[in-house]
Amino acid sequence: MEDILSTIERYKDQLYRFVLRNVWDRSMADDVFASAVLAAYENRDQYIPGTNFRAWMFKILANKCFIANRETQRTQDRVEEEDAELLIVNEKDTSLYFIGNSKEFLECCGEEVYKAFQQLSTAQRTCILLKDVEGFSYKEIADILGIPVATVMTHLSRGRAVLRRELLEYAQKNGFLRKRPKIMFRQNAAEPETCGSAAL
Amino acid sequence: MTDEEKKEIFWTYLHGKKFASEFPEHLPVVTEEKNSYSDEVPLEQAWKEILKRPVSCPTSTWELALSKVQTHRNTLRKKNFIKKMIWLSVPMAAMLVLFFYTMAIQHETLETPKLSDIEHIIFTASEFNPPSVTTIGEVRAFLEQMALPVALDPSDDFDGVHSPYRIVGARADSYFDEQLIQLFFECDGMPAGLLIVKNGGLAAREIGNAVADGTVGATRSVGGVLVATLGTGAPHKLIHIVNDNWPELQPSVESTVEPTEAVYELAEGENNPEPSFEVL
Repeated sequence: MEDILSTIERYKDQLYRFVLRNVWDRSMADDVFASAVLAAYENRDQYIPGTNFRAWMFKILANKCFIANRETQRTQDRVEEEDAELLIVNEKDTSLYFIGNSKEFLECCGEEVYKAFQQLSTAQRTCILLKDVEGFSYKEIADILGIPVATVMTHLSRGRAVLRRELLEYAQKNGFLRKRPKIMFRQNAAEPETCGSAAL
Repeated sequence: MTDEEKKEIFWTYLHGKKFASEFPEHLPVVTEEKNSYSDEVPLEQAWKEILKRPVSCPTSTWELALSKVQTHRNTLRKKNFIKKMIWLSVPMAAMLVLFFYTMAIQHETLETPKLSDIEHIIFTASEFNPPSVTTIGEVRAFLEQMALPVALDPSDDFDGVHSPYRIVGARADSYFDEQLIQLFFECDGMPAGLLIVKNGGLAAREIGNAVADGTVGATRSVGGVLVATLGTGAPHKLIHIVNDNWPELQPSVESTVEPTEAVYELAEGENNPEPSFEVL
C-alpha cells in the first residue's frame, strides 16, 4: 500500500492541477482527486512497475473527470455550428499582427485563458492539458483516453481554435493586436492598381 | 488527412516539441508556412504558460484521499475475515454433519446377532456351553440371584416324570449388556428352552422379530420380563412355568390342585421324538 501511495504523493501536485483545470470547481476537484487516488489503490495490481506511472495515473484521473463532468462522448466530437464556422473563419488572418511582448500579454490574460478554457469540452480540455501542459505525445494521449490518434488531433485542433479565438478577441480589444495597414502601389498606367500589405 | 489534422500537425511543428520524432514526413511542408503563423505563436505560448502554472495539492485533499483508502482497507479486512470464517466453518460443519451421520448409521447398522443364531448356538452339541447349574434346586437358587425377578413354578419338580418337562440346566448370558437367562429343558425327548429377558430392551425386540419369522413359538410378558420359547420342540405352554409371583405352598397340606392340563399338556401337533443332543 505504501509503495503506490508514496509514488502518487510524488506527483500529487501535477495530478491535482490536471483535475482542477478539468473540473474547475475546488470542492469537486478535491472529491475527484481523492476518488482517483482510491481507484489507483484498488487497481494497484494492474500497474506494472517500471512502466509509465504518470500515463497510468492520468488515465484514472481522466476517467474520473469525465464522470464528474458527466461527459461520456469522448470519441466523437460533435461538430457544432459554432465550431464549423470557426474552422472556416480561422484561416490565417494576415491583416493582424502582434505588438508588445508576450510577457506583458501573459501577465494580463490569465483570467481570460481560464475563462476560455472552461468553454471547451472535457475531451478538448483533457487533450490540451495532456499535450501542452503534461507533455505527452499523441500516441500516449490516445492510449490514455482510449481513442484513436486522429481523434486526439481533432480535439486538440478544435480546442485550440476556441482558445485562439477568445484570446485573439481579448488581445485585439486590449491593444495587443493591430490590423496591418494596406499599402497601395502605383505601377504602370497600363497595369491595374494592386494592394499590398506590409508590416509597420 | 483532414484540415484539422493538418492544422494540428502544423501547430505541433510551431511548438517545436517532438515534431521531428512524431511527424518527420511533414517537415518539408510545414517549414514553408512557419513565418505566416508567427503572430499567433505568442497566443499559443500564453495559454500554455498559464495552464502550466504550478498548483499545490492542499493537505486536506491529500488527507481526504488517504482516509478513503484507509476506510476501503478496513472494509476489505472485515469482508476477508467474514469470508475466511465462512470458508472455515463450511468444512467444520460438514465434518460435524458427517460425524453425526456416521454415528447414526453405525447405531442403525450394528450387527445384532439374530435370536435364531443364539438358538442354534445353544442347541448345537459341538458348541454347547454347559449350563451354570443343572439340578432343579440349583436352578431355583440360580434364578433367585438373578436381576430378572422370576421363579419357576414351585409346585413342579421338572423331573420329567411328574412333569412333562425335565430341567436340564440354566445359565446366564448377556445380549448387548442386557442380562438374559436361558433355561434348558427336555420335553418328550425334544430339546426345549426358555429365554428370559428384560422387557422393552434390545433382546426383547429381537424376540419380537423372531416371533414374526417363526423362530420363536411363543412369548409372554411377566412383570418386567419377557419369556420366550426356544427350540422347534418347545411347547408353547412352556412359557407358563415362569412367573414373577407364585402363591406360597402350604407345606402341611398336600397340594390338591391338579396341574392344569391346559398349561402342561402338550399342544396339538407336538410329537415325542428321541432327543437329538447330549447333555454334557
